[in-house]
Amino acid sequence: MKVLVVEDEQELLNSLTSYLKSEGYVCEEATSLQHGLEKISLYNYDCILADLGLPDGNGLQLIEQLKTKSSGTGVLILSARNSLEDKIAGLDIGADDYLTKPFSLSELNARLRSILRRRKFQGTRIVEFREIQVIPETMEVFVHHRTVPVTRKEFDLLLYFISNKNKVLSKELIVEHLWGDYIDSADTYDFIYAHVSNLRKKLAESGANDYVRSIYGVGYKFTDL
Amino acid sequence: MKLLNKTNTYFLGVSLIIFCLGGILFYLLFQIIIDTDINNKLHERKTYNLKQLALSDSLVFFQKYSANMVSIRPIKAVPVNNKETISDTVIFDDVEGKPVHYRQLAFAASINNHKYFIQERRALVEQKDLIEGVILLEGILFVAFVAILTAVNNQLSRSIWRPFYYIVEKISNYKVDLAGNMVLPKDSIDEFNELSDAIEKMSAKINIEFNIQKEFIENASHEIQTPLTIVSNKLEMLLQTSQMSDEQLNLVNTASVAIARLSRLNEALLILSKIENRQFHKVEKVCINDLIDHRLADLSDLILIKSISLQRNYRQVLNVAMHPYLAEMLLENLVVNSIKHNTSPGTIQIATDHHRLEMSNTGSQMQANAEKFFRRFVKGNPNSQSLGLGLSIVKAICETYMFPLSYQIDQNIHRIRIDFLAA
Repeated sequence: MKVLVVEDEQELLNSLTSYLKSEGYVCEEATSLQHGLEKISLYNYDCILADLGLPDGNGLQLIEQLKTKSSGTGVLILSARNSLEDKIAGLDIGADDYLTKPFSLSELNARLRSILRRRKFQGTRIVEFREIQVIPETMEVFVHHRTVPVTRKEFDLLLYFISNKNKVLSKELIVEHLWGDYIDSADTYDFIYAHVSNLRKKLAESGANDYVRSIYGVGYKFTDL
Repeated sequence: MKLLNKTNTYFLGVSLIIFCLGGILFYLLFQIIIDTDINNKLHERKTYNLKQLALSDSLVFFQKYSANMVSIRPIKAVPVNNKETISDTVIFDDVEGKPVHYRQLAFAASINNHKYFIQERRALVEQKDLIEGVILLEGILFVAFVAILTAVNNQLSRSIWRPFYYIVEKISNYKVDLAGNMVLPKDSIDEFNELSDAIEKMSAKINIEFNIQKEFIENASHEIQTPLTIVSNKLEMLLQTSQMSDEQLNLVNTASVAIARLSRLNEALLILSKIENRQFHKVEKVCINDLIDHRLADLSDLILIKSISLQRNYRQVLNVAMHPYLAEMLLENLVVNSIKHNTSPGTIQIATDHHRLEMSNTGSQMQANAEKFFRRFVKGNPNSQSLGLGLSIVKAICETYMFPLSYQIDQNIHRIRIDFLAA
């Protein structure tokens, strides 16, 4: 998977690229709109992560440029502005998703994977982790090809775990992924615990191994290592 | 009390004194005029009656007069020091059936060698009648005076004071926003013009300060978000590095929780300032019931985990014209609050009619004045991780659209009511 990151803040760019590389993406960088437009015209990418507030222009121009190429490239907007108008404008001209700064890398990863699934596999891709199969489009979960009844949030949680496998996910990050940032995490730690234990119970009852590791005081890690 | 009424009160007090003094003078003047007049009349009668006596030499002529008016009796000789005397006397009046005050002029006269003692009399105006008359007259004048004064003052307050009331209205409706400086009309009255000028200058100054502050807040908030992102991302990456001890993981996690909190705080304050700066202009018809239902569905598992029983009583569908994002934020805060600060088990009751939303939920019992939770950073439980900005945002949104908002705590029931119609 080839990803272009257009971001003018050097440190943020470093974080993003090193994280994406560790996730196995082929990653290219651009620090200005001009630079980004050049790269788009020269190469094909699976997805572009575009900051809107670039020093030489608005990142929305990247999306317009992409449209003329009629490529299957996905676009994820990164913006410091949490304004509805920006969000609507971005999604209207063809961006796939919108993340407001500050965002977490695991959230970015989950969104990016979701975009790539939709773009590259028309949404029918089955996400697999050992004996667990997840179908994002229909929100179904199978263990050993037998269906597991899960609630919507449990499904989201499982998909998030699998997308970020082998990563330490703090309760903070999980709350933000499941409910957005409008509910304060400290008040919902109990909810997280309830959801995780329900999910573990359902997977165990269907015969799956328990891949969820509790990390004391921090959160969880979904891993088979 | 209005300025006019204030001056009128003094004015009326002073005029009451003047009217009283006037009444006394009036009375005395009347007395003097009547006195002089009666004395003159008596002298005229004297001259006339003496003429009659000289002509006829008979007293028959005088029989047609009442004995009370004139009495003539013959005397032997005119006293040496004959002088006419004027005196007041009381005579019983047969016609009126009561004693009547008379003034009498008594004198002796010698006519055609006949000598007479003559008393000319005139009835006096009763003192009581005079005083009554004066008081009545003064009273009528005073009432007329007050009536005219009031009418004139009303007219004055309507015309002369009009610019003043206009200025007051302008100031009370004044909102610091993009609408710009306040412009007040000029008037023929210098004092009001001075006032207008001073207010215009003040509003211009407020606008400048306001805009500087607004820009600062926005820029600062945006600038803060990028470094926050860098810090939180680096911490997240640190969390993923292997060979971290539990203690180290905890340290990193605590730091990233604090960063997340800081960023939420920053975002909430930015939104608050945007709402208060009236930066949301678009107005759309939004269905409050739909928004509530969506949010409740999204949080249904939290409601389940907390064993909260939910009762929705949508008597009528509530549609409101407002910015869709603000509507969403308003209900998000209300719904999240009603779950977050609820007891376990607890209840949430939501009722709407065509203009009002009422949400009540069980919560902690407190004596505090509920309205204080509308202030920023005020929390029911100071140890809570909550930002304490949710209700401030609710209040700011309601104030933008001038929706009356109330919050009451009755025992352990917290009740929020918003009236959307008044907008």
